[in-house]
Amino acid sequence: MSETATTELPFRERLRENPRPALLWVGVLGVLLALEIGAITSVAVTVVSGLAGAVASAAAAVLGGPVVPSIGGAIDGALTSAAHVADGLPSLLSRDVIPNQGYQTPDGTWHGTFLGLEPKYAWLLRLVLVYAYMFAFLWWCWRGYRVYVRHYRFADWTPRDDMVDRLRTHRWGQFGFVVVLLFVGMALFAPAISPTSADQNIYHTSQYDVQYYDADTESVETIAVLDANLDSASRGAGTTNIGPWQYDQYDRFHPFGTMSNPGQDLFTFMAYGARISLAIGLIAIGVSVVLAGGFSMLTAYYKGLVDLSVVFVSDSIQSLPGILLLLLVVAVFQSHWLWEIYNGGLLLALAFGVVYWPGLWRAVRGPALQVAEQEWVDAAKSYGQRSVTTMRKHMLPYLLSYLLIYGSMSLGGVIIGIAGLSFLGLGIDPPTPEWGRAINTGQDYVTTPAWHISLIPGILIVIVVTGFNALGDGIRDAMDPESEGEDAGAGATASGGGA
Amino acid sequence: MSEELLTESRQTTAEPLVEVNGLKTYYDTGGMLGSQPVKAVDGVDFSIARGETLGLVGESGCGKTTLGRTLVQLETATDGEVLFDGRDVTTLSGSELKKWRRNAQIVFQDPESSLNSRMTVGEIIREPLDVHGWPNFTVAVDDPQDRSVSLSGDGTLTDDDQADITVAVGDDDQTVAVREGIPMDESAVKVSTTERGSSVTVSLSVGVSKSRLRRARVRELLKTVGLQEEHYYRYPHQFSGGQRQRVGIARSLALEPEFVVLDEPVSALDVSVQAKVLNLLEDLQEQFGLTYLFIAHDLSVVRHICDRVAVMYLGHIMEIGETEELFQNPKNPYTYSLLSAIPDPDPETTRERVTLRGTPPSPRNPPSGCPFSTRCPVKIRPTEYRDIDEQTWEGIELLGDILRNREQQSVGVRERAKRLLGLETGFDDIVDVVEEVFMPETVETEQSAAERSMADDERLEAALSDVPATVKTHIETAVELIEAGDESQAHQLLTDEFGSVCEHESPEHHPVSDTGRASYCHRHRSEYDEPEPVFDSHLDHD
Ligand code: SF4
Repeated sequence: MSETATTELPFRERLRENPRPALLWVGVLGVLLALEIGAITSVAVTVVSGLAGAVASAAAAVLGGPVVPSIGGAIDGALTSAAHVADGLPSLLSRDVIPNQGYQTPDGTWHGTFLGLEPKYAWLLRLVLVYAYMFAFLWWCWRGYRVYVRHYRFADWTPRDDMVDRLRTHRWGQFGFVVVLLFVGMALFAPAISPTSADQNIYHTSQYDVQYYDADTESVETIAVLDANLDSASRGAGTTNIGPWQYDQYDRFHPFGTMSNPGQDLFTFMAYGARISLAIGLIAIGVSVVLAGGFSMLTAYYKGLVDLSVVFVSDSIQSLPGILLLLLVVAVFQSHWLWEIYNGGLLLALAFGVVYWPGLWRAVRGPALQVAEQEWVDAAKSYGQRSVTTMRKHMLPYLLSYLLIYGSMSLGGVIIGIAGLSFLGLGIDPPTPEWGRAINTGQDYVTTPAWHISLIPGILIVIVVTGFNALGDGIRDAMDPESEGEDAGAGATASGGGA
Repeated sequence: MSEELLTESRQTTAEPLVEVNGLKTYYDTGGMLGSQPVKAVDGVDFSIARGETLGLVGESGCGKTTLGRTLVQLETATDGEVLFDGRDVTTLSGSELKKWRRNAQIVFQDPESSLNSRMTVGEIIREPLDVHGWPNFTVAVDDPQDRSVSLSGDGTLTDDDQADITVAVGDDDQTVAVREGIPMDESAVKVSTTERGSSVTVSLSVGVSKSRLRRARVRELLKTVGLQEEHYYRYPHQFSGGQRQRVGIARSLALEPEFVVLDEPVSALDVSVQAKVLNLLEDLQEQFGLTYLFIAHDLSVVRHICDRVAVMYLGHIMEIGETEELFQNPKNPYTYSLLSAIPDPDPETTRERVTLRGTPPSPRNPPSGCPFSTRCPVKIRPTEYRDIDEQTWEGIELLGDILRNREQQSVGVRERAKRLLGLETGFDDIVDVVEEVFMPETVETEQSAAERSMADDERLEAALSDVPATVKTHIETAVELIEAGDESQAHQLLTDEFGSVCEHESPEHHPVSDTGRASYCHRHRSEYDEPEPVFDSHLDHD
C-alpha cells in the first residue's frame, strides 16, 4: 500500500518530500534570469506598452472625450517610468557592458571598445554570448522538464514521451527548430546583438553623435549619426559602398553593410525588423489558429448547419485573392486610428489572420471530424459532459499538434506576405524597419556593388521560412510517425506566399 | 452468476425498469434532392425488467446500435417514448437530462476508440465523477422525535433512502453512517446538533476533500473491474484490448448507474479474453444489481449471458422472448433463418440451414408491409398461387427483388438526374435476366451459341416454357413494360399480382408462447399456416 500512499500526494507535497532537484533547478534558473534581468524587463515593457498603446488608442477612438487623454497620459507615464527602470536594470550582455563602437588611433589601438578589441570582434563576442545564453537558457528549461519527469511525475510513460523521443532524432525538424530559434533570438535580443541601436541609427539619428579619428586633423572628431550615415550609405557603383563585413570611414563596423539613403546599418535594421515580422506573424497566426481551431471543433461537434455556414464563410474569404483583400484593408484603413497602432502592424496582422484562417481550418477540419467520431466523445456526452469541456478535453489535444504544424508553416507565409506588402510600399510605414522594405530599397542596386541591400534580407527570409516549415515537418512526424515522407507540408508552403 | 440465481433474481424483481413504446429514430443524413431519412429504428416496443439482461441481436445495420444509443439519449428519438422508472426520458433536457444520465450508462464496442488516449486511466474513469460533482453528500437525518430538521455545513438534505450520509440523532449523541459506495470512513464526518424547540439543526462537516474521495473511488473501481490501483497513472496505450474494455466498464460504473447498455462489448476482443470480460459483466450485474441491454451479433454469447432476447431486423423487433426457448424453438421466420445459421449443439433437432436471398433492403427505403417480406423464404402467397412449383415462385420473387433493388439504386443522385432528363438507365437485356431467373441451371451450362442467336421473343418463350400459363402472361406484360423503360410500373404489376398480406399490411406482435414471447409475423394469424411447418415442407422439398 505504500505505492498508494505516494500516489495520493498532490504535486505540492511531492515537491516538499524531495525538494533538492527542484530547488537546484530553480536556483540556476534564477541566476540565468538575473544575468539578463534588464533585457527581459525591457522586452516585457515593450510588449506591455504596445498592448497599452493599442488599448488606449482604441479607447480614444471609441469613447473620445476628455477623460481618455488623462488616463492615457497616466498609463503612458507609468510605462515610461517602467521603461526607465528597465533600462536602469543591468544586463550582462548589452552594448554598455561589451561596447563595440570606438575609434582607432594611428598607432592601431582601439579606444572605447570592449577591452580594446577591434569593433568586429567585440560585436562578434557579444553576438556569440547572446546566443550562447539563449541556448543555455532553453537547455535549462529542457533540464527542468527532465527533472520533473524523473522526480515528480507519477506516470512512468505518457504519449508525449514518444513524441519527444521522435523529435530528438528528427534532424530536419531540429534544423528548423534551430533556425527558428536564431530568428526568434534575433527579434528578442535585437538591442543586444545589433552593432548599434535602432534609436541611434534609424529613428533619431540627429540626436546622437559618433566619435572618430580624423587623419587630416589628427584628432578625435565628433559627427552626428545622421551625417555619418549619409556619408557611409551604399549607393552602388562609383560612389560609396559599405558592403558586408566592412568598416565605414567613421570606424563603425557593419556586419551586413549599410543601406542606401539614409544609410542605416543593415544588420540593425534586420534585427529590429525581425521583431516586427515575428510580432505580426505571431499575432496573425494566433488569430487564425484560434479561429480555425474553434471553428473546426464547432463544426465537427455540431455538424449540419453550423458546418455549412462556416464552409460558406470560409469559401467566400478564400474566393477573394488574399493579396487583394490585404491591399483593400491597407487602402481603406490608411487614415483610421487602427492603422496607428504599431505603424499599421496590428491591422495588418489582423487582416492576415482573417485571410489565413480558412486555409488553416480546411487543414484541421478533417482531423477534427475524425476526432469527433471517436467513441470517447460519445462517452463524454453519455455522462453529460458539457460540450465546451468535451471539445477542450477530448478534441483539442488531438488538434493542437495539427494547428501547431500548419501554424508554423503558415507563419513563414505571413512573413513573406508582409515583406511583399512592404516591398510594394504598402506594408509597415517607414522608418519602422521591415525586411520587405530593405529588399525594396535595395532593388535598384542589385547589379551594383551594393547588391547586399536586397540579397541579404532576401536570403534571410528564405532561410526563416524554410526553418518554420522544417519545424512544422518535425512536429508532424513526431506526432504521427506513419506520415513520414509524405509531402503534406508542400501545400502549406506554396500557399504561404501572400505576395 | 449461475442460471438459478439469474432466474431467481428475475422473478423477484419483475417490475420494468425500462419501457419502450413505439420508439422511432430516424436520421436525416442531409442529402440533397429530398432524400428519405434513414429509418434506423422504426417503431419498437419492449420492456426490460429490473436486474434483467435483455439481448439485442440482428445483422449489422439493423438498427440495434441506434436503439441502444437512443435508450441512453445519445440519439434523439424521432417518435415514441422511453420510460425509465415510469418517467419519459426522451423529453428531458438540460440539467434534468444530465441528472438522469447518472442512471443510464453505455459501454462501447471499440476499446481503442472509447478511451481518450491522451488521458491517464485514472482521469478517464474520474471524469464522470467530476462532471456530476460526485459525491454530492446527500444527507438523511433520522430523528426519532420527528422534529423538523435543517442542515448546515456540508451536504444537502434528502429524504432518499439512498443518502450518502445518514445521521441518526440520539438524545445526546449522533451516529453517522456512510453509504457503501463512498470510500470514506465514518470518523471523517463531524456532526453536531443544536435543538431549538421543535426543530433541530444538524451541522455537518466532512474532513476529506472531494477530489481525494474521487481518487479513492477510482482506485476502488479499478479493483472492481479486475485491474490494479497502480494503473491509475497509466495511459490506455499501455493496456491490452481486454484491459481497456475493463477501463471502459469502470468508467460506465463510476456514477453507480442502474441501467447499462453494452454495445457489443466483447466483439472487438480476442476470443480468449471475451469469456473473462463476459464473466466480469455477470459478476458486476450480481454485485450492483444492474440491468443490461446487451447488443451483440454473436448469437452464442447472447445465449450465454441473456435472460431474454430481442431479434431485430430493419428497425423492427421481429421476435422477443426468453432466451433458451427462443433459441430452441424460434417462431418468427427471420429468427428461424438467423438461428439456422449457427450449428445446433443438440444433435436431436435436425434444423436445416436456411440461406437468405440477397441483402437486407436499405433502411432509407424499407419495404411496405412486413420488413422481411423481400427475403422471407416462407412469405405468404396469394391463394391462387399457393400451388405453383418452388422454382417458378422463386423466380417471381427474384425478379421482383431485382426490380426493387434497381429502384433503390436509382435513389442515387445521378440516376435520378438521368431519369429526370429522360436518359436510358434500363436493363442491358431483360431477357437475359428472365432466363437467369427462371432457368438458373441451364443458363451457364447449356446455353449454346445457337440459342444465343435466337430472337428475344423466342428466348423469352423458351425461358418461360416451364412456367404455368397464369403466371406467364403477367411476366410477359412485366417484360414488355421493362422494355418500354417503365420499371416501376413493372414492379408495381408484380407486387399487385403476386403480393400478399406480407407486402400489404404491417404484421402485429403475436404472442407465441405462454412465457410472453412475441413474434412479428402474419403467419401467426389463425387463417395462415405457422412458419415452422412451412419451412419444413420447403426444406424437404429441396
Ligand atoms: S409476415 Fe410474411 S414476410 Fe413477414 S415474416 Fe411473416 S411470413 Fe415472412
